[in-house]
Amino acid sequence: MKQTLDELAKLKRREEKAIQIAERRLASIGTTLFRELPDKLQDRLWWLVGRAETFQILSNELSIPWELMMLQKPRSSGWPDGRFLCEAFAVARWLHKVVGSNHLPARNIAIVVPQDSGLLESESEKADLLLLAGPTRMVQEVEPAYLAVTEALRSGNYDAWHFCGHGKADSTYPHRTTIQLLKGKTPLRPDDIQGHGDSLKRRQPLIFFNACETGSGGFSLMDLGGWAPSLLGAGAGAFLGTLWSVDDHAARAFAKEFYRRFLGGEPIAEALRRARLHVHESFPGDSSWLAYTAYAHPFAIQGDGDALPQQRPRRQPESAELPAPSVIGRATAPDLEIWVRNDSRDGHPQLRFILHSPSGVLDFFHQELAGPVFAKSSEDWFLQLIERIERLNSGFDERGEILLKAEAASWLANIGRQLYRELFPQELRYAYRHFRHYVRTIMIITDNPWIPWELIKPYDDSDLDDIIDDDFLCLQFQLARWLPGAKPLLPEIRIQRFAFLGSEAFPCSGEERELLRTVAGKHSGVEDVSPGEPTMAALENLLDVGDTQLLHFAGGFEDRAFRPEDLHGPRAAQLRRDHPLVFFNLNDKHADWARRWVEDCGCGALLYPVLRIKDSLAYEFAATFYDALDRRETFGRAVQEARRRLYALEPGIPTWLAYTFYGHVNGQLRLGDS
Amino acid sequence: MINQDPDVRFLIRSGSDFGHPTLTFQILVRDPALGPLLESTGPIRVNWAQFVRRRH
Repeated sequence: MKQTLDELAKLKRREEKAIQIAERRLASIGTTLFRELPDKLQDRLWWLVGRAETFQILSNELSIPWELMMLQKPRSSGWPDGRFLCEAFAVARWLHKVVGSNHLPARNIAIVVPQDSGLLESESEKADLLLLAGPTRMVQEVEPAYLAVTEALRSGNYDAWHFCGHGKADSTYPHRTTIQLLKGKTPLRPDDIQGHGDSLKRRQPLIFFNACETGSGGFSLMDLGGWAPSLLGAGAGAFLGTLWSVDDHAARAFAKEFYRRFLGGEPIAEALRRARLHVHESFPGDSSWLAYTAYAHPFAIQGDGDALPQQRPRRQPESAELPAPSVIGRATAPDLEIWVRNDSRDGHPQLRFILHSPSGVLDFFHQELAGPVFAKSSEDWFLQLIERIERLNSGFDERGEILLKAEAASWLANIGRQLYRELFPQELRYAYRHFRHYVRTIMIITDNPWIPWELIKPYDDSDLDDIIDDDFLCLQFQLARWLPGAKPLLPEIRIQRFAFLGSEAFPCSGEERELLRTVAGKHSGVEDVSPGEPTMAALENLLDVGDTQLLHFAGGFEDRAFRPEDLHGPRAAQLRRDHPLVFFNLNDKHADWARRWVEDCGCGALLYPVLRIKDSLAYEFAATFYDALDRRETFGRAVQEARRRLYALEPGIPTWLAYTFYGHVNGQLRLGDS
Repeated sequence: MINQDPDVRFLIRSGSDFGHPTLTFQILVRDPALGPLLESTGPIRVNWAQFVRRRH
């Protein structure tokens, strides 16, 4: 491939024949890259074309031009008929262990354009950039001299940088890669950024190297190897560059189109893809459109971080203008995500875990670990466990003998320790030793509802000098679950109408109703639409009218007749529009209810018990939960506080661990106009 | 942010096998409708040695 690129370098690309040769050779390079992949991977990537839209490449191996990979029907013969990866998807790269930014302010842009670069279009490109200035954006030219540029970088005044000029690669020594400033003067090197530590962290700027050729240059690889780690490591929010030198005219067109789209509100990967296609259309036969690469969060948008796109933007027809994404509030990323998926080994069900730290407090980056193997299905295993705990709920041990309260608490702790041994394989136990000190919030993302994460109690005496005997996971951490593929997690649920469905004739149910009224009554703009009778018909009426963002079920609701399967058609659609918080504070529910409520009906958050609960404790749980939410604590914190309260009151009665919460661990409730 | 995961994450880890560069690939999808949540392939020896950055 290197040889091919060298050949391409010798071509004058503006000649018709050379254009055809260049196009074919690029397709050949892309095809070679694709066919080098294992068959299984080729099949998978090809299958994703047309189904997936955004594609993130995560690697510390920077030199392979993945964007150029020609996706095509695997194992087909003849001339390839496929699509380049960067054409098929909105692609962005990122590096392992570097925390990304969702927002790139780009309100104070520095441009560096050496006048003596010999590039015909550089002055025009500079003029385009200066035109980006407006009431809320400044664009300033920085003298293209080493001292001036490094001083401006060090000042931290700019939240975007645009360099136009020449780059010089050194693939053997990436740190020697340079960006040329004025001719004969000291160029800029990655060291100049790294040397200032995390100088870029304050502004997290977008940095764009638009490295051009002088007209007859070639395809020599730029090798961004030196720049990407330096810039992102120093705190840059995003980095755009080219994998090889690009045509001067195409580069100007690309930059103009990219900024128009990105500053107009499009997520960065989509703005990049569309700018790419614009250049492809405007400069047929020129390879420049394939040369661009971006290191960024694919959904990073221009802004200050007070807003996020509500939904992942769908790709629009090429001719249509993308609207600016609608926005809602923001929630902090969880410290740890544990993805759990079902697999099998030797015919037995097995779990696999993926550990990832979105907040960056840990260095887990989609780290895959093998999980436990079950002798039977995880559902059977779970039901057997529930049976043991329910026996405890009735005041008996496994042998049917009466348990004292203190004994019950100790017995639960033993089950928790046993679960830790069964469910946490050695690798995960090792990871736990590390993350227990740093983690506050955990999201379990799984479609397997059977693993009782809440009940796990870490105990590890493999190192006698450092024995771990920690509290239950649900007491120790703020824990929440979510289903993979369900609607995006909501950072905030705003309650304008709430309904209580319970009968005051039932123990503690009246107090629970009063509790809700009191909490809601403190805020203007919250309407109580609770029905007179807590019946199925009343629930159906509520769902028909819609616009209720909190449904609280308590004792006395005719839930024996109610099945989540009954929610379908317009009622399910209404729930998806309202995305309410649904709280079942009665009886025990099937652990798999989440699938229906969250996945199919689009609940914003769901809280329900999977074990029998004691009425007075259920009331205490609700009181503590709503009180915490009223104080603007997060969902994760509110559930944790409620559990701790119950554990302090009755540690031997497992009501404190009976609840399962699905929602954003750092999400919040907003009551009325507050 | 969880609510902003891309549809596909393509993870590439480089390594070596008796001095020959290798790559391990993982495809992680956001939505089960896009296939298995995680698939791993490799490590495989790659013939793109000229693209794989030399280490020092």
